[in-house]
This record gives sequence, structure tokens and C-alpha cells, in this order.
Amino acid sequence: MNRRGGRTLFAGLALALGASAPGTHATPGPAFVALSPGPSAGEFFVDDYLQDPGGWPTQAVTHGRGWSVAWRSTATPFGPERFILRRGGGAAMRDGVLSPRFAAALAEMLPPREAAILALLDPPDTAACSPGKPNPQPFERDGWLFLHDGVVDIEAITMQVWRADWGPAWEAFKLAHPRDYDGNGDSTRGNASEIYGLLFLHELAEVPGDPGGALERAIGHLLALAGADGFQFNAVALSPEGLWVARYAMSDADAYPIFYGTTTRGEHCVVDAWPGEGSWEDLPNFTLAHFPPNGPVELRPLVPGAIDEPGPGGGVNHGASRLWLRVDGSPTLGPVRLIYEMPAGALGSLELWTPDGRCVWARSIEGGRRVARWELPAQIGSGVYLARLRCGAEVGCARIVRLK
Amino acid sequence: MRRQRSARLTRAVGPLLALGLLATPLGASDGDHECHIFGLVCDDQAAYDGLFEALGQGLYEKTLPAPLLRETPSRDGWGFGYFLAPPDPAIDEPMLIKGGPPACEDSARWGAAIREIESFALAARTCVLGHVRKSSYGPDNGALPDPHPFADSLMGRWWLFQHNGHMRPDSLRSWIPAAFLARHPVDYDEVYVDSEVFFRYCQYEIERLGSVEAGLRFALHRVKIHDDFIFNICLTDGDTLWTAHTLSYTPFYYAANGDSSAWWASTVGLGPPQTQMAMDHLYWFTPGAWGEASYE
Repeated sequence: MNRRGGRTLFAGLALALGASAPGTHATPGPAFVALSPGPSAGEFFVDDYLQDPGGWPTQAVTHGRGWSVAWRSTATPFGPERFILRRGGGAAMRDGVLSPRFAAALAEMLPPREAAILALLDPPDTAACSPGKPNPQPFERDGWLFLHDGVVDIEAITMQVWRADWGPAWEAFKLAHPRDYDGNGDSTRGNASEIYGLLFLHELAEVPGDPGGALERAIGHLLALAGADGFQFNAVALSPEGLWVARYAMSDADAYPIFYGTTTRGEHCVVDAWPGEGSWEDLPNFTLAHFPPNGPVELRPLVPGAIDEPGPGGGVNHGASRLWLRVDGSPTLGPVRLIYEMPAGALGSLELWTPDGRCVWARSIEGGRRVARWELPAQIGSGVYLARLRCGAEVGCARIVRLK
Repeated sequence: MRRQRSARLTRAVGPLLALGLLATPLGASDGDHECHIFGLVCDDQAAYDGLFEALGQGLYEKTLPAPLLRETPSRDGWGFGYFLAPPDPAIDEPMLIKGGPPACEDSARWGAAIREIESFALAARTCVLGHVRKSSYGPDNGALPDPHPFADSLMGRWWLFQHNGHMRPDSLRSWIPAAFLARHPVDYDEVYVDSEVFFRYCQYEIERLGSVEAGLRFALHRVKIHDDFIFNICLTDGDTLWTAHTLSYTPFYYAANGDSSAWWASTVGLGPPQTQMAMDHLYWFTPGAWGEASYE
């Protein structure tokens, strides 16, 4: 059992009572539970947890601005391909009593479900996307449910992702996938999580059959956003093919945990708040978890910069190492955005090389996962350069075109 | 068959309208429309002859950009609600399918919704509601999935409701006791959607008087005489379609097929034979029967 700090079930109650719970605090985004077929029965009575007013519904104290229940089942007339969604506004529970429609949705979902996502909303940006309406999350498109837990700036993602000049494939995808929450064209309004979900689907359309890679590439794009080092990109993607969960918080990581375990019905169960019973594993930050139908969980580190991307920027993969480098904003007359990871606590070097093999600039650089603005050295002229990040025997490279 | 001809016609001109090749769309009027709605109640397979498709196409065309229409287009989202037919013991609630973009710019999902309803609603007795929105009240200035149709349970049944027109939601809300709203909370609870509050008020009166007809006539009369509140509505429990008309500039039509096994009502006419609803009248339709009453 892992009792990592972070959001816990009773954090909301503690806050409501004015008390302080060590290591716990409410954070904006959805509170969620995701279920998918697992390999064997576990200890967690998820049906009780979801229906008990003292269980998961207490999250409505802090996440009381909309609820959703989405599931699929071969027992429905639609078969396993179509998710059934029930959404509502307001709190799923008030004064210890479940909202009637939330309770009705639970009663419909619990017996036949084969996979499901439930979410209660604490909207992260009420100026961008109004609260007081049915919970938009999880989003449903192309046979997928997608949920984002965290904060991403709407203007940054609108301007740098939705309106990015990524060529005809991106434009065609957007035409076929118009946003439900588009802010009427205002870049400061809309739902950032919806754009994140559509970006994931775009990446999946580009490389079908690799949802994990699509999530990784989507996060790679988001790392280039202005202010990315303050965002959280935790995501849950569910389809009949399985459940994929990314934990990727650039800041405030302890406040955005993800736990996983198994239910007494033999399901994988993924939650963002420790339920207080059963055995749970803590998904490490910067990790992708794949929960295949009826199979054990598969974990791997998320290394977004190491993926070939159709969008801007570029990087070089060096296997599954913990060192990688990505540079966005090239060609440039001024600064570029540097996104890199090295082992925390290590000291590496950042270097600029000419194509003919001369090192024209170098400085030491601290380890960790970072996003930084990099003012290129004033003394280097126009031309093509290779940025190289070294730490011990590991090297990451990215091309930079300098204009003057 | 008239409806078959109408369906073929709309299928033929739809693509031309979408491409901007027809300057004056068929069926456009000079009225200042807001939302557009249709309701359909039908017996087994009675709407398979193109009727449902024609009703959907009528709404779809109301979402085309303004230069193609002589009225304000309804471009703030779209929605369908239907009861599974045959019903499924594992699914109690009616199904809702909604989108935020104009239907004409969301063709893939709109088309998928049409196909789903044809597959899962029309094989047995059912009721289907369709709506395209021009937002007047509600959050996000209309940049969200269409709130219509609304779904809620009352007296042991699930209901769908939709509306075009406008009214001030705060006035209506003040007529609904807090205890009723606690049992039937609204989804749009910070910036009210007038239509949802209207639905709750109708529900309240239906429950209070123990009769759909009596409750609706009481509620609609009270709403009608209050200020400048105007409306066309559809309400259904899956067996009966109730409609009402108090909106002078947006006609609301109804008609049946030859053996009255299917009835439809729509703010988008399908062409004759169809009848325009009388102002301030409530109608109810079921396969094989219908009725009307004034709430003036």
C-alpha cells in the first residue's frame, strides 16, 4: 500500500471544515475514477465506494461544479464500441444526499459496465470556460473518452496548438473535429482540456495503433507552451482497446497524484485521490501506464522530447535514457525555448556546435526536467547549429537555425 | 408520397446550400428565428420512409451561414434526444447526443447521430426530439454543446423537453419551490438557461396537478401572460409528444403520415399537407390519436 501525499478523499471535508490536512489540498481539475477490465480480482469494493455518500461522492465538496458518468458494455444495444454518457451540472452530492440524476446514472452504469470513467469537476479556469453547466469531461470523440487533470493556460494552448501552423493534416483534422467549447473564436475563452484531447486524437490519427505514443507526442507539443513549467498534463484515455494514463505534472506534482489498483470485480481502477482502503500503487510522475484489457499494467517513462514529431521543433532520441533535449522556436532571430531532462541532481553541459564540428559555446546546466528560455550567445552569427546536451555518457541533440 | 418527395428534395439541395451555390434556400422565411426544433412520435418503423431524415435535414439547413439564409441562423450547437426502441432493461434514461459547433460544420458527428437514431430508435414505438440553437441565455455565450433537449425524471418516468423562444429565467425560477428544485436540480446553475428553468416549472405544475395536460395548460398560460415570454415547446415521456405554440413570428407545423402511425411537429415545415399550430394551443400526439386544447 502506498500512502503518498496528495489529494485524498477527505481533503475536501477537511477544507470545508477549515482544518488543515497534512500533505493534502484541493486542486483544480476533475476528480476521477477510471475502470477497465483487469487480469484478476483485487481488494477494492469500488461499487460501494462510488455509491456511499461517505465515499467518492464526498469529493463533491471541493469538486461540486458538474459530474459525469460514462461507460460502455456489451450488454447495451450499442455493444462495446459506444460509450454511454450521463452528465450533470452542480454537485453530485449535497448535504449527504446524492443528486437524483447522478444516483440514477450510477444505478444504470454499475451493473453492466465493462469500462468507465466518472468525474467530478472543479473547473481550473472559470474565466475561460464557465462553470455551472454539465461537466465537459471526459470528452468523447472517435470512440475515445479523454480526461485531463491539471491546469493548462487556454490562451497558450489556443495560440500555440490549436492555431499552430502545422500543415494540411492538422487543418484537415481540425475541420473534421470542431471544438464544442470554442469560446466563439476568442483565444482567451474555451476549454484547454478539450484541445489537449483533440491533440491526442490527432497524434493517434497520424500514427494509428499507438495510443501511448500519441499521448507522449501530445505532451511533447504541450511542453512547448509558454508557461509549460507551471502546468500539469495528467491524462486518462479510454477506448475498447484499453486504458492509458499519463502522469506528467511540471509543477505542483504532489497535488496531482494518480493511484492504481484492482477491484473485487477484477478491474483495473485508476483514481486521483487515495480512497482510503485497498492496496494502491502510486504512478510516478513522468510515467505512462497502459492497462490492457485483462492484462497486467505496463509502465514506461514518458520521454516526449525523444519522439519524432510532425509539429515544430525537433529532438534526437537516445533510447529510453533519462536525458533528452528539445528546442522550439527555430529558426530564430532571438531566443528559443529549451526543453530538456537529465537525471535530477546531475550536472551536465549545454553546447553549441557548428556542422563542421567546432564547439562555439558551452556552459554547465543543472539536471531535472525543465523548460527554459534560451538567449543564444550574441557572438554566434547566422547559420545552422547543433545544440548538444551532455551528461556523463549520454547525449541529446537538436538543430537550431540562427538568423541575424 | 409527399414526405418522400420532401426528403429527396432536401437531400438534393443540401449539398448545394453547403457549397453556397444556392442564394435563396427553399423554405426560408423572413422571420427572426432563434432556435429550431422538431418532435417525432411514431409507431414501429413508421418513420423509416424518410420522415426522420427530412426533419433532421430541415434543422441542418437552419445552421448554414447567414448569407445563405434570410433569417438569423441557429449556429450555437445542436442536440438530439430519443428513447431506445425497443427499450433496453439496462438503460432507463433517454439518450442525448449533442454538439457545440453549428451542425453544418459538425457533419461527421451530426451524421453519426442521425444513423444512431435510425438504428436504435425507429424500430419500435418511440419519440425523438431535435434542436439547433441560437443562444439567448446561458453560459459561455453559446459556445458549448446545445443544452437542448433536457432530460429529467418525474413521477417515475423520464422526460425530454426543448424550447425555442425566450423568457427571463429568474422570473420563472421564482415560481418553483426550493424543495422541488432540490429534487430536480438544474444543470445550468450559475448562468441560467431560460429553457431549462421553463422545463422545471412545467414539471412542477405537472406534478402539483397530477396531470400532464392540466399541468401544462396551467404553466403555459401563466408563462404566456407574463411579460413578453414566447415559446414553442416539445415535451415527451417517450409515448406521447406534447407541443405548444406561443410565438407569433415562428410558425410551428404538425402533420401525420397516412395512417397516423407517425406524427411530427417542427418549426421547419416539410411542405403540404401540414397544419400550422394555433397560437396559445397545446397539442398532444400519439400514434393513431391526437388532441388539442387552448391555454389562452
